[in-house]
Amino acid sequence: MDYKIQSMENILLISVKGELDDHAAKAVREKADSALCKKELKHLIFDFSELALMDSAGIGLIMGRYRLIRPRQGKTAIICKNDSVRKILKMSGLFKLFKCYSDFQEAYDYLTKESKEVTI
Amino acid sequence: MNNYMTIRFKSLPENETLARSCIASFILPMNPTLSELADVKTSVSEAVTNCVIHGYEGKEGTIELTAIIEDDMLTLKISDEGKGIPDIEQAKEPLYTSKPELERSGMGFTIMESFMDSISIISSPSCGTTIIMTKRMAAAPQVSQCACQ
Ligand SMILES: Nc1ncnc2c1ncn2[C@@H]1O[C@H](COP(=O)(O)OP(=O)(O)O)[C@@H](O)[C@H]1O
Ligand SMILES: [Mg+2]
Repeated sequence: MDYKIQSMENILLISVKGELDDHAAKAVREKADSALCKKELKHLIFDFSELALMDSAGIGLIMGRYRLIRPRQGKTAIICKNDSVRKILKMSGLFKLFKCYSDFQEAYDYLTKESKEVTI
Repeated sequence: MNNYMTIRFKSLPENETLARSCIASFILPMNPTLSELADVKTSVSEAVTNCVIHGYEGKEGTIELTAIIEDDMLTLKISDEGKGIPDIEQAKEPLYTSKPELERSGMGFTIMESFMDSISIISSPSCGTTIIMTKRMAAAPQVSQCACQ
């Protein structure tokens, strides 16, 4: 597992490659939460485009971070191509809350467009 | 083809990766599709993680993984000698977790049930937990399952 946490404007980008299990999720969670101390970050993008496998720990990781940004009126987007990962997201009911996007640009457009709508 | 293996390892979170790679190599001769391989690896990941987190609660213990191949049939057995499950029906409910503070989602058993053909849970508070799962691997080319989306 390999991961990267980057902030850009008011978006926190969490990219995870390889296999996301409970052990890996712990490491990502720690870094993501310390980045989220910055209150100007309100949106989340999970880049799972290079994720080969995710178990239910991924659900906990997504939901936990989503709860942190929800009071900031933030939005969450997931970049995901892997069928098995999609199956788990769907089974857990996460598609009622967020959508999957095929690349970063699509996810970014969704977040920035939505936030403009909110400020009008 | 007929084959079996048993591995025993310490209840370390790092060994979740070990269990997944062992099972992936072991079932390779069954010619699993990418999706079957992901289903089996994910189910093993769920069961082993449960032993580490719930069975032993971070304490030291031994986890045993047995895999049996009989023709196109895979049987997996994952056991711990940890604290056991007091109420199995409740444990199987989607979203039920006894450890919400650890950001568990309670989806482990639901994922195992849907990714494997069958699952049985044998557990008691004094003797630990054993999970037995089976899956028939369709080595022959299959009709695409995308239509149900
Ligand atoms: N090996 C085990 N030993 C003891 N309890 C277990 C074990 N596996 C599962 N459980 C119990 O079953 C519940 C549901 O498991 P699961 O569906 O994997 O969800 P989660 O791991 O997210 O809590 C756990 O919260 C735990 O109480
Ligand atoms: Mg679990």
